[in-house]
Amino acid sequence: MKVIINDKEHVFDLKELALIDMLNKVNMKPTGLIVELDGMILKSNEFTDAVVKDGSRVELIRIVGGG
Amino acid sequence: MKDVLKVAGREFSSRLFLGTGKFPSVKALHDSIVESGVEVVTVALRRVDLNNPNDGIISAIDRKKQLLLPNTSGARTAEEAVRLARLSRAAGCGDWIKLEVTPEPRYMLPDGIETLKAAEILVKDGFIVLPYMNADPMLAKRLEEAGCAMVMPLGSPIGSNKGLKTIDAVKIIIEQSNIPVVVDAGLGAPSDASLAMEIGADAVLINTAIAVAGNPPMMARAFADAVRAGRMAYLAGLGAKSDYANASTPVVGIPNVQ
Repeated sequence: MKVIINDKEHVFDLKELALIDMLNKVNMKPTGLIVELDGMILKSNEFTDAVVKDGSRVELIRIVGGG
Repeated sequence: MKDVLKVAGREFSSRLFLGTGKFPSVKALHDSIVESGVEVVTVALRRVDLNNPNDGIISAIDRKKQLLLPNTSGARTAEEAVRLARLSRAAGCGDWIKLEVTPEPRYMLPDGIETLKAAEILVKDGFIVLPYMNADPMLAKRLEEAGCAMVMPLGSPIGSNKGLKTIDAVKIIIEQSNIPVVVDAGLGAPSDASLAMEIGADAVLINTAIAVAGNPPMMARAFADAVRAGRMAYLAGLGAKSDYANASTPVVGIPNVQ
């Protein structure tokens, strides 16, 4: 399946994937991460149940320094 | 004397807000927060770079002591700003949002029309909205009427270190405002921060001038001291200015010199 993460296409050899496993596959830790899945902002307690499917769009955002 | 800044029911004893961008290291940021005793720190939201995912900035912030104030920097329209604010709240960053809408990159001046539009939406949505704005007294009134918890007029363009170039307009904003006025952007030296406080600003927000200093924690301390001095001078009441000399030594009883 193909998943768009931050506008870039990623191919995974599965039909669907738990969000947590997908993060693991792209070497991202969920701590401090903000996730938008198909236009829906997920609360951190929703991470465990979220599933990524073929064609899903994922935005991974985090807090950075800023004024 | 107890002198606290009240914003949306929350009290702050420090009147220096710190931006967290451009620091040379997380340690330099952490030490600057500790040295200056700031209680408000701004942060931004950005997409993760999957090839370089580490940014440990959040570890420098103690949320028991400092209010995390996310901004909407990067937003070019009201719609983008609202989206960033909602992302930030969903991410557990709270209801406070520093609203910034800066569509053009050269001067990064805030778009007052889009800022007001976003402020109206975000206030209705339950956010505590702190808008970055040009030093425009009419816009300040409109943002206050929209329910913003403070206004944040600029001193000069973001990161320019040019100081309080908007002083006359900021004085009018302070005179007319019923909500706190925090001078944000462009203050380059502790004397700029002190000047803003002397004319009655409720606080100042500094980022670049501290982050790019040779010794950021020492500069953070210098700004904190300047803010305290400026505030104290404002409360004490500055003497009037005059175009002519007014002798400070008695002018009568001068002994004749033969």
